[in-house]
Amino acid sequence: MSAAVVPSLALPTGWLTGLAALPALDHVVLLSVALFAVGLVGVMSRRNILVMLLSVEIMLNAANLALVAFSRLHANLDGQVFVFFTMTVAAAEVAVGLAIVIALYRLRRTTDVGETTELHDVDYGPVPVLKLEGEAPVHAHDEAHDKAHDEAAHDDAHELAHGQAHDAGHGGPVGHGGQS
Amino acid sequence: MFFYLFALVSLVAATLAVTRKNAVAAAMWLVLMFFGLAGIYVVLEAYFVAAVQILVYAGAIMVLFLFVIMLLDLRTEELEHRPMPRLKALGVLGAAAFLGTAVFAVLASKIELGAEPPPLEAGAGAIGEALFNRWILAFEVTSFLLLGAILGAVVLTKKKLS
Repeated sequence: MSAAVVPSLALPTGWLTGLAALPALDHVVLLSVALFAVGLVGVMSRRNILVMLLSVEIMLNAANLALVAFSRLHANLDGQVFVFFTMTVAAAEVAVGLAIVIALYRLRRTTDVGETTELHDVDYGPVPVLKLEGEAPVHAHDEAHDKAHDEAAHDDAHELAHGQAHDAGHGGPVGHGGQS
Repeated sequence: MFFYLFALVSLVAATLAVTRKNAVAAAMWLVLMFFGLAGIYVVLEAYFVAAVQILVYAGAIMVLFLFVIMLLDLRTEELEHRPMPRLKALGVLGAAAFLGTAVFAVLASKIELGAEPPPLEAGAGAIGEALFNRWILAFEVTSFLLLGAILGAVVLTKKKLS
């Protein structure tokens, strides 16, 4: 009786190293690019500030992946040391970013960046004039305007602020521009 | 082959994390992406970076994120109640433009990315040696950065901003 040909159940030696072989590094860099693009979509098209911060983390990780890939390619450890620093900066960024989110939520009860548009198209009214200590601050209005007319000499800074206030108040530089 | 498995996992997880409405779900998918990337780091023989990726990102940063998300206790229906399709389209378009440019740059680059790299010893010992010799100044500056971040976070979250 010949020995039965039993298929060996043992995996061929080196199967794990074969599966875990170093990938082609251009594929790693392309994955890094793709992850960065995914993070970019998140930052640009989401309005929940928490998800935007998460997307920034995705982008930082994509950059880390590229650093590790090139560190491996050049057999140079500095890239991996840089990854370490990137992670530290990411941790600091998350701590401060989330603190800002909490402050925003306390103030506004929202995490939607679409609702925090104070700096967009807002009329702040007349520009307050910067005065030295001792003098009462002049808020540029028409009475300040008239007072400035009476003064024989006024300095350039005053004049500039006055002109701006005039623009804001009346929607045009016409009128006062001739005086100076 | 493990690389392609981990690449698929991290890419799908990142896409899901970006598209989820619920911030907790997004954070959970992001944890999966961190684990996928850690696997890729192992395949790339960067064992220390892989360990730190799990410890710092999946461990510390995501816990901080989840803590804040649950602290704010946002209702899903309150989020995204004002859809802005133009913003979304613009974001996707901009990212697609970036993707096209970057992929072209990678494919057209003169760097021989397909070359078999020389061996590299990248354990914790080697990294530590580099960190505490060549990069010691950067390492110390990092501690000040973290101190500043801690102080900034405490000041920003104080009840009364004066």
